Amino acid sequence: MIFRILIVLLLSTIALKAEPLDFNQWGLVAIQDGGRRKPIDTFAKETVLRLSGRTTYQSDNKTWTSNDLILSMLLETHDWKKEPLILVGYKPLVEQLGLDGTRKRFSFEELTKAQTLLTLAQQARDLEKSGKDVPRSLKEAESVVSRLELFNKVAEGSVLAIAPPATGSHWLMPTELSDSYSEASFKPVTDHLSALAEAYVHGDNFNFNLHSSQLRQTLRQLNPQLYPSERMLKLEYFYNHVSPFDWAATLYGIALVCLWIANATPTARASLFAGLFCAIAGVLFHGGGIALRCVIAGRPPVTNMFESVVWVSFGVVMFGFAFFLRYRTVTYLLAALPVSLVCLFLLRQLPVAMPENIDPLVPVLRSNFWLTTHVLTITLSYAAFALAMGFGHIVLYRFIKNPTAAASNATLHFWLYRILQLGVLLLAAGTILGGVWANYSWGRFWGWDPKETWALIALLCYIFVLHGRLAGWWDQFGLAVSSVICFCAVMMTWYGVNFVLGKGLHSYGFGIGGEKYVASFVVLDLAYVALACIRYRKSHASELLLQAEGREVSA
Amino acid sequence: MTSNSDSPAPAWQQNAIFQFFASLRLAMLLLGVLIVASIAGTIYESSFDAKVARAYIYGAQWFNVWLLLLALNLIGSALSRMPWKKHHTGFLLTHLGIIILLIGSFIGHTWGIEGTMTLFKGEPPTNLLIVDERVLQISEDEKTAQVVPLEFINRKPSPENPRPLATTASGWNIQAIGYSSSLEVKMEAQAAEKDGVPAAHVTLSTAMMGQKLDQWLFADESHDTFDLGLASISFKKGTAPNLTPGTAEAVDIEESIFSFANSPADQVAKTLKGGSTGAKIKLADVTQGNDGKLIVQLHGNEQTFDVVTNLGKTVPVPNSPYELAIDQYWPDFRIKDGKPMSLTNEPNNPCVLVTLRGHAVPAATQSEGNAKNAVTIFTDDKGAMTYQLSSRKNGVSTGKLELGKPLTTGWADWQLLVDQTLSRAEQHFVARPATNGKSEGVLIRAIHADKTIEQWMPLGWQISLPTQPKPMLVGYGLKQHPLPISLALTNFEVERNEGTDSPAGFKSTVQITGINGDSATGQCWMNHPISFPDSWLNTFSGLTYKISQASWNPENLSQSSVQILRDPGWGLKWIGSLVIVAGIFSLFYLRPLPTDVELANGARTEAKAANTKRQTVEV
Repeated sequence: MIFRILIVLLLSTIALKAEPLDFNQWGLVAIQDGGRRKPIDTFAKETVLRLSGRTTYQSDNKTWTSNDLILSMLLETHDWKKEPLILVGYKPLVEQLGLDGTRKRFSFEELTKAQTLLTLAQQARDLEKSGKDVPRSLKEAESVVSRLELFNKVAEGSVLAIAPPATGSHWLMPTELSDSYSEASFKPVTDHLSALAEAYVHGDNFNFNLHSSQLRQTLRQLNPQLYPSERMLKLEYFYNHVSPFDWAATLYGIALVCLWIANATPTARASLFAGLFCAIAGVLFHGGGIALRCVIAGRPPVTNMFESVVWVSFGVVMFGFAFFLRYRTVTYLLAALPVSLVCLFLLRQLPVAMPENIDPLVPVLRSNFWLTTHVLTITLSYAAFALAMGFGHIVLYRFIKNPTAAASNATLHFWLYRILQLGVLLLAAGTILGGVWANYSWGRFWGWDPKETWALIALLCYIFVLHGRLAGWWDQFGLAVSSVICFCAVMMTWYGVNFVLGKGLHSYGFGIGGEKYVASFVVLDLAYVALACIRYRKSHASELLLQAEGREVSA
Repeated sequence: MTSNSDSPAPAWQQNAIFQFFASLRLAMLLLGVLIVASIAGTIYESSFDAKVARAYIYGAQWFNVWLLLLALNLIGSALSRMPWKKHHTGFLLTHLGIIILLIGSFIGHTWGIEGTMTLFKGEPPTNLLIVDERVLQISEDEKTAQVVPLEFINRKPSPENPRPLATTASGWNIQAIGYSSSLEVKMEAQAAEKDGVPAAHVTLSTAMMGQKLDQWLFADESHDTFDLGLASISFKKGTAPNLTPGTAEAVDIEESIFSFANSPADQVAKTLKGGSTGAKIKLADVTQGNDGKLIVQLHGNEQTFDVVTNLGKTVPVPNSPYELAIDQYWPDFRIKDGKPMSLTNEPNNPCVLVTLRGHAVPAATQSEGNAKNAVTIFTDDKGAMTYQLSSRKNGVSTGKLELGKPLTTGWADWQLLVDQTLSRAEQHFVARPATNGKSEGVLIRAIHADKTIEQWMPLGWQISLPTQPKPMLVGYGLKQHPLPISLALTNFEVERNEGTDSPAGFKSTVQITGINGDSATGQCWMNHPISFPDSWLNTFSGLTYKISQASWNPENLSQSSVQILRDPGWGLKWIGSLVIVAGIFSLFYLRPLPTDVELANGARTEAKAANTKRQTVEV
């Protein structure tokens, strides 16, 4: 009884000017959401990201953090139905709905008024049910409607499963507590909940945090076995707030500048050491972030696009360091750091296409052994080829600057060749391991699934290049060019199959978005290659390469 | 290629045909075409489907020829290096591995079997494997059946371009004359001469969402309900029950209700005795210094009470068996320390607590979650229709339903219309192409002398054609392949991700019986297939039936689909794979690379660098 009233209280609309609150304690309250127990801080971040494509929201007079926004929605301290919060990321859809084409975010009210939206989403769901292709605008309409549904759920409080049940695995909302607990045992929970709600409404930071922390303790006492440990909650909260990959990107940026200076002026030893120091610090953040995700999720960190980009960019830097240590040349690092930087930058730019969420795995991926061996191997081959691509850019830059000097620098070409070898080995092994795994989970070794086929195409492309070099169809310059161009096949395998083709059995990685970035990258890259080719042709450096070979043969 | 060899190459190595097959030029051509074809295949698959890609590329004859050429080229290039030296190991292993892998694939492709079986708990064992190939099955009597492959990849048949399929024993010519990927199969009613049940054609439409649904309903046991998910419509014989109150007995009732001025819809009621009064309490006109009015709604009867004058008193509610007590009033309602209280005297969140007592019939409990949106249409012997309508919002109502006159349901803006009835009807199925059809199908034509019959056949259906002298049974579906093992599903479990309905895994327990009487029970789940027979040797060589969990039906948890594979090439594929990886590894990392040492030592003179380059690319 009291609880029903409490919820009504939560529905009451009072907005007082609040002093800045912090959510350190509230964020640590555990919630069951999306098939996993997590801190409410994660839930708030993911929810706001899903609604708006950002993790904070800027209203007229205030920047709302995700925790603040979600709590405000739950307690109705602000009329969120009128705020342009909900993302409609696909412009043709905005126009189809008759909304303002210059905006990307609209209010709940605006969108619920757009009648066609529901019809389009229904069409998308029908098509999906009958197993047919869903056109992009319908897909987007469907995702907008699921955002509206999410908004509704949060606003009516039906997502707030924060209480562990006495039996079973479905967590309870505060309103459901009386179903499985006696009033005496859940009363402390409701008391703290109403007290923290009141403190939140009145901007009383001390009491808000105090009652949040006591709420967590009382919830834990309901069923200590089911409640996540304090350590895990704090670890995930820490991961949410330390943003390790942003730190890594920043440090890589600084390292890149320092190493570039060091490379241009060999006397600048300090710059070299500063660069190496920053790069190592960046690797620590990068690897630390990956390790944290592993501990939180309890599995290898390569199960969605976000994780694979993080992992591949880490692999690039690690390979860069390995080759640097083997051959003592910072060129490897100069190739690796920008590649890694671009990857990490894209993650920040495309939070909707590549969400950072840690979600439960689809059944077919539930095998830590194969996930580790196949997926890690194949993604490491992407990393090796990405490094080769970066290195290829440097080689081409040398050719643009001084074709003859670059042509006679055999060491440089040898270094590139070593990376390509590593990539070929890893890709071949990874593809074959994929076949072995497929035989276990899908019952066949090879089925010409688009992901399989593209992995094979990428492998064949590199093999084609290496054999073409043997046949003398192209020289060292050709190897540099192809290390850049063949990476397009890798990108197609990695990104294109999931985001462009969108067919086949690897559907757990499918998504939409990011085409503009990838397309412009490819176009710019091809232009760069074309420029290098023109310079190379005009310089007659190829003759120099031939001369070098001729001398060797005659010797 | 073998410029370093000391002795001249033997004659067979100088043969022009051998040199062609061993040439790097051919290798480049083969690789290049493979790349382009594979790319085209994935694009085909993306814009059409996997079958098209398979028919044109991966499964096409020329592709097999191409792979054969590749194998010959690999053998040729290996032989061209003879006599083999130690530094050839990596190269030879890699090429040998690919050849072994290709042979394994060929064996698997030729002698292997792959398909699925859908099993149901409690059903007898089956040995029929469903292979992903479409066939038309024609039977004129129970004993014999003709099975004709019927796939449509490139050219779809049309009435002008029929595809001849078969001639039956009694002389009927069967042709395919059309294909549709979107057939709609509908149950329709036709007047029955004898037997038959009443039928009604029901249309549901909403202007708001621009949707219209229609269906024939039959007043029998099995086809009387049209379930829309959010609502259901059923059709029955008889008349709607009369809902006038008074049939139930009056009891003592006591109910207390919290009502909030700011959210009138969210009154919180608790029955203390007897049952619910069904009253709706509204608190209105609350302003500073004025505690407002209380509006009590009881069975459509509305009464107003002043809060201030009646606070703490008990007053009768006119025209009703109840009396009303206004127990408490809070201008700024809050819960503090588990107790209701008023935070301030400002009317920020006015709330009132009232109690209703009386001797009366309890109101129908309209608990929100339980009432389902539903309509039952009744038809009596004379064909007059009545309805009973329940809606989550408005409760239950009944009335007369007239043909062609829409009924407002109260579920959003859905309107229900019965536009056609039959007093004695029987069901028949009609398949026709439609924009939103759910199944694919083929249009069949049967010709005999001057008689022609045309029939759309949806995939998975068996339809009887009215041929003479006997009706002919025609079925369009997937090919069935009998196996020497039979499977029965003894158990199926679905594990869910905590707190959700999404599956975390499914596990089938399967009883397998071999043709020779061997029997085994195993469990298969994702990444854990069952092998039968499961000896180590069988599993490795692929001379076993590998049963993997394939898919499940969320709506029927006693059903499970498993994939069955027998691949005699499996062992060779394994060995080939290992050899390839070992070969590439030794090719790149085990051969002595003098350049590595020299470069590490910093020996970087131009001549040496050129030398380095020459050696690194020489494989």
